[in-house]
Amino acid sequence: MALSRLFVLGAASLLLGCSDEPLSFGNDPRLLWWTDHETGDLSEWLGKSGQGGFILPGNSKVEVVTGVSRSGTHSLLIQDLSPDQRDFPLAARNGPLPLGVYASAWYYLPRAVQPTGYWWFVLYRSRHAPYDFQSFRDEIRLSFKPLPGGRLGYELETEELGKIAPLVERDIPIGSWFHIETYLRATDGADGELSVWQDGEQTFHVTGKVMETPWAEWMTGGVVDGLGTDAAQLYIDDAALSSERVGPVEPFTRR
Amino acid sequence: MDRLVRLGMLWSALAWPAAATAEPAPCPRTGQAWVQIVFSGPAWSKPVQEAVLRELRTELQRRSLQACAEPEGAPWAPPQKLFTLLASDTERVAIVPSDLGNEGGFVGRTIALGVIPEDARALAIAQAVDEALRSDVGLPPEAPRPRPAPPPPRREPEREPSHAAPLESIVGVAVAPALQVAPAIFDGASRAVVAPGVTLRLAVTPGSFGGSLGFTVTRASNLAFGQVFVRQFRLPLDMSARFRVRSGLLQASCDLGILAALVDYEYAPNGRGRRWVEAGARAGFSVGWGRRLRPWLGASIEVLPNSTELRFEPTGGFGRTPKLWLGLALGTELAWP
Repeated sequence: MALSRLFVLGAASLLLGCSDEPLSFGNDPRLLWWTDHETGDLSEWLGKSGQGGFILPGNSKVEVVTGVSRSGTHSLLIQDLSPDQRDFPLAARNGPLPLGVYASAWYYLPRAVQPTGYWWFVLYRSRHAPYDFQSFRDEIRLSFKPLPGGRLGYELETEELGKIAPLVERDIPIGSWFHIETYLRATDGADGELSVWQDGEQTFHVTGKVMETPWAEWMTGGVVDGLGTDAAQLYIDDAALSSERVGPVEPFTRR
Repeated sequence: MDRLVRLGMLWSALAWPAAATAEPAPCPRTGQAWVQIVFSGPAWSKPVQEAVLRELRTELQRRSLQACAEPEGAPWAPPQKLFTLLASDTERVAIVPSDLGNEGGFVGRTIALGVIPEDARALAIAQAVDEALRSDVGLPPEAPRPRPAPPPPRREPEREPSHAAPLESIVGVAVAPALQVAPAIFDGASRAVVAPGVTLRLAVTPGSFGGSLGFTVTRASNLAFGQVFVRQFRLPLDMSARFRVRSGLLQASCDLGILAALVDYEYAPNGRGRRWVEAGARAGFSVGWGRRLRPWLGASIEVLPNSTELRFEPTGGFGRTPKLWLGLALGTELAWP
């Protein structure tokens, strides 16, 4: 009888094709921390796991909004509301990050930004003794760079190594989501490593001493010296820190 | 020259049986008890009649009886028994223990020939006549009434009967160590899955066609998706139609059927997983050697059209369950009768 039932079930499944429900195994073991902002607030940036994080709005605004999102209904909106002065609206995850860590997020620019000098949208900051609030150095910066013809690109610069030549130059798309992932191995010696991928394609790679100390924290959003336009916006979604490369995966989902 | 010699030898070999039967011995021989067989009905052909007589003579020879058709001239003594074999069509033969012309009503025994391979029918008819002869009256009382007397037999050209062994009805139970392999062609797979196990198959094959029911128990194994390993356990069960061919002791079988596999997938680090039934189709081929206890080698392919996506939160799918499993088995089959 049991065999008959098994066969009836099997035959029915074969005919109807109804055994295709995805199987979820819970949290991705590669991820050390992630947020899709579907909590509707900044709580996952500030806590959730690891060392926690912080928000620096500067004189502008950092908030979770609806309307534009890569996954779900929410995303993080970075607004530079002070185009005439240097400002730093950003979200950060505290250090020390693990040695050899991937940091990734999806970004969306509704229109091209025109920084006066730089708009660091990814920043690694090191801290050193006595590890207080003032003991840091802004080490590694990915900065938007206006290109001829109204296009927008980006460049990589570090305190230790200066400007890094790209492996391949890629434009930043306007009005569509793009993925930036970095790998940082910050050591005391020359065996450090830094890589950048845009939408899965490696655009920068450098080895050597990449930071003053191995104590690193990851920041994203904007450190902007000024704007040639009015206020500017940058949306961020599906951000993660991971032990392995995540790549431009499908929009984050919760089950 | 050699070629001519060989041709000559071949001609001799072919011609010998004809020469040997060119002048048959008189039947019945004087002094030997005999049984008369009358072939009646349109479905008889001369070769089949001769084949039946030949087989019957072999059977009766042990009891010092002769089997003859129409006696040539007056026999030395009347027959001990007379059987009329009625064949109105090729599907059945009625065995009637009397002369149709002298009795108005009688009972007989009917053999259904449809299920018997053509080259085994003469032997089956001869054995049935022999059985009837050995019984007192020659017939079971409940046997059905024969049809009315058909017209006289018509001689038709017929091909020579072959001498291949008949496919007897068998029930077989096969057991074998097995290896199931899912090639690394499913989404996300970084290597093939190899699962050793044991397979058991029950087959019933009345003739060339039959059915089989089989299942395989395999050891749990890992699906590898890069650094992620998902433990899987699988218990496939299939119900198949079987086609069988045989030549001497060599037997080959093809199975084609539906498959239901109880599967269990688990991500070991957190113990999360699920169990369900996968459905698909299975084709198998096996070759065996022997009669009762038959070593065999089999290969199979299982196709599962509905592969299931495997996911993590929040990054989504990292792979899918295999759609294709290949099987290999080497074991023994026990067959009845």
